[in-house]
Amino acid sequence: MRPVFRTHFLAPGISGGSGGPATGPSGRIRVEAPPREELEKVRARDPEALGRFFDRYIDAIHGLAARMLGNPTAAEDVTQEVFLKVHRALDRLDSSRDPWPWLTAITCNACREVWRGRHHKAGERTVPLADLADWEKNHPVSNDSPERDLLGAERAAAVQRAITELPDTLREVVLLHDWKGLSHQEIAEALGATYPAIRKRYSRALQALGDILGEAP
Amino acid sequence: MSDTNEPLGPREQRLVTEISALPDVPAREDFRARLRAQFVAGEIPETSSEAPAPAGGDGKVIPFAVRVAFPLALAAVLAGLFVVLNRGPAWHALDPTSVARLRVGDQVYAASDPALPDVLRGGVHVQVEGEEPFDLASAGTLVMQITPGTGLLLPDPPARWWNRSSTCTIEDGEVRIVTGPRFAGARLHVDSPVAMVDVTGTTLAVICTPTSTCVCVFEGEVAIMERRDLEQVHHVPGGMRRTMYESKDSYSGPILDMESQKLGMLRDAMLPKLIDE
Repeated sequence: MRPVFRTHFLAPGISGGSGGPATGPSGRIRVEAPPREELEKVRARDPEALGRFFDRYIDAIHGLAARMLGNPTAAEDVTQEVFLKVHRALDRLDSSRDPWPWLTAITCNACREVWRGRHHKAGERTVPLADLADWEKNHPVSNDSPERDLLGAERAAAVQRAITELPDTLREVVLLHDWKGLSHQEIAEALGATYPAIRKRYSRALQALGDILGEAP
Repeated sequence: MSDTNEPLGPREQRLVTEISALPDVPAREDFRARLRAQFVAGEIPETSSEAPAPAGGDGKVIPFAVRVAFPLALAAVLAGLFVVLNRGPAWHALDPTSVARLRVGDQVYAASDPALPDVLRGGVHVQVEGEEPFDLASAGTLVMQITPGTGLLLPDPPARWWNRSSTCTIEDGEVRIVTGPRFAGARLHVDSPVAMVDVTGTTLAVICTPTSTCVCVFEGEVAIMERRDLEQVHHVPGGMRRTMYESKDSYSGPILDMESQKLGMLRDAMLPKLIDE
């Protein structure tokens, strides 16, 4: 059975994974960074370490891509692209730092390439969005009761639909902050933007989401 | 890093809670297994996202050579083919048995010289040597009878379909021109020191000296502009002539009898050949 890692982020400069699970600004649990010696093995392309590294981050990367693109199929392409770039850049992996911001930046860049590509023009987003909305309905949020499952799945689908309707620059900020648990400063570093700009985008994203969902302020 | 320095409203707080509660989107097992094996082995193939496919319908990446270079090369080949095919019939001696000789540049050629057509290109300077006029023809299009001593810059043979205009520059002497059936729609400009003659299909003679030009029109009509008054166009019909001077008044009158006879004989002799060619 494959290991399950929730999305988790530790501040840069950590030396190991002994800190235990941590939560981001939104309270979401984030992927725990591997120990330094493990990252050094990854950097040396040790096959077993590579496998563990892959297992640790595959769902986080794939999930982020899927939420960003609103399309699980496109997310697989992006995930493959991310791991391809990671493998090529392993020589530059800093074992003293949490690799997640680096992976986040690569994933966001790969998603942006898709956004710039012809397959993700505005008019072509409706079908992929429906894909992920269908996925939401088939993957309930909790197990409390079937009715609650259904309500939760439908609400999740509506929220995902609203997220997908956001402009690209707002969508990535709100997902990285609220769903992946990155701070605004961490997002700014990952996306190469300023902290005030990210704050502003985040605020606009939440406002736009509320408007799209038709909720009163 | 604090993100709580700006309190959120109830709507935004609710949204944050809902977004954070969105379930993970785990990768499919078969995709995960394949990609894991490729990552560990360092054999992940390129994806289409790294090189977005151009518009092509089936998503295949069309190589640069096919998308750009091939159409450009094809266009160049077609353009070159058009240029070659558009060329008018090359100049040649109408009567290879003639004893007339033609100087082309520094070389003198007999009418029978097989190398002559190769050097008869538009813009080359030709001059008739000896006592016999030299008849140059462009098959079906044009005959130019160049009298002894006359020097001129040879025009391009009128092209077949496009850019069917060419220019002949006469310095001194006389040239008689008969147009053939394929000349229709073409235009020949004959420039002399004092006039410019616009030929669109006719039989005529242009006789010029450095200070005067006489245009004798046997049939058809030509338009003439004098260099000292390019605004004025003189239309000279068949059977008439116009004589122009550099520093004297020009005048029109009936075609000279002798020139009329020569042009008539030339037209009668050449036109059947032009039609046959």
